[in-house]
Amino acid sequence: MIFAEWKPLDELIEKLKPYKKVLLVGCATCVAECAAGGEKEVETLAPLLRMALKKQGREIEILTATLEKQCEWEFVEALAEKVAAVEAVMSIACGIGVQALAERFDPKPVYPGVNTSALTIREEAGLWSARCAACGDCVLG
Amino acid sequence: MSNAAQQVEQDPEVVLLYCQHGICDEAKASAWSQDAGGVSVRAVMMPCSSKIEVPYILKILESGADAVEIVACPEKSCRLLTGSLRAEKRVAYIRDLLKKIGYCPERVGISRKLAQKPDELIEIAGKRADAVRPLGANPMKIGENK
Repeated sequence: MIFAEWKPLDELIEKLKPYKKVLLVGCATCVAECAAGGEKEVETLAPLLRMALKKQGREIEILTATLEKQCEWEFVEALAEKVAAVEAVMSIACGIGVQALAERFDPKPVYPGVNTSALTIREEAGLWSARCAACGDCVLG
Repeated sequence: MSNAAQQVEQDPEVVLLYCQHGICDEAKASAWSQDAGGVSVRAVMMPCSSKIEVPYILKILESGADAVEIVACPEKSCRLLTGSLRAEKRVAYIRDLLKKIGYCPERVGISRKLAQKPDELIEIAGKRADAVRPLGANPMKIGENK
């Protein structure tokens, strides 16, 4: 499973500062499993970012959406209307999802909200261990 | 007087989310509100404290409440065994998130009580209000009437 973690909140806040209306997009597949980018995380991160920016005197509207898979064009297409209504997009899917949104909705700015770090196996609740580097030269077994 | 200063002077608004076993049987009500003793309480009964998810609490704070207090069962009395433990872990997680965005973590708290009378629940909310009163109004509230 692709594993990711939120980028530091300060970094996300800084990225959104220039905008008044953005779309925060999650993915209900791998990054939902590791509690970084699913619907719950989207609905957690959106109020946090609004609160942080309001405290700094900045009003921002953050729309939210969670796609079943951000790495499939058919699912990505469903965002077209929402993306057209915002100035920028922040994706908390893995790098594949971020790149899919950036390519489909070019030239709209698309920012990654998580750091995708490994291909993992879940050892127990809340603990994942990296088992593959996707290096393209497999010697495992 | 500025809008912000006026709001700081208002009684803190505390949202109390309590497990259905946290209130005595004769006073069971799904939701109620009361202004008493320097605190404005909005109370909502939940089937279990473990049903209180992280986004719910953040959205309550975002909507302008000054604090959220969860009333969960004592650990060994939880009818879902680990429900109140989950609630406690979520509160710790939220407090950490609040700290990271420059909010005081005291705005969210948890108490472990069973079969409380409404007055006792208000007292619990009052303690949370006392903890946040020195902080002033929730920054989300300031300027909302402009």
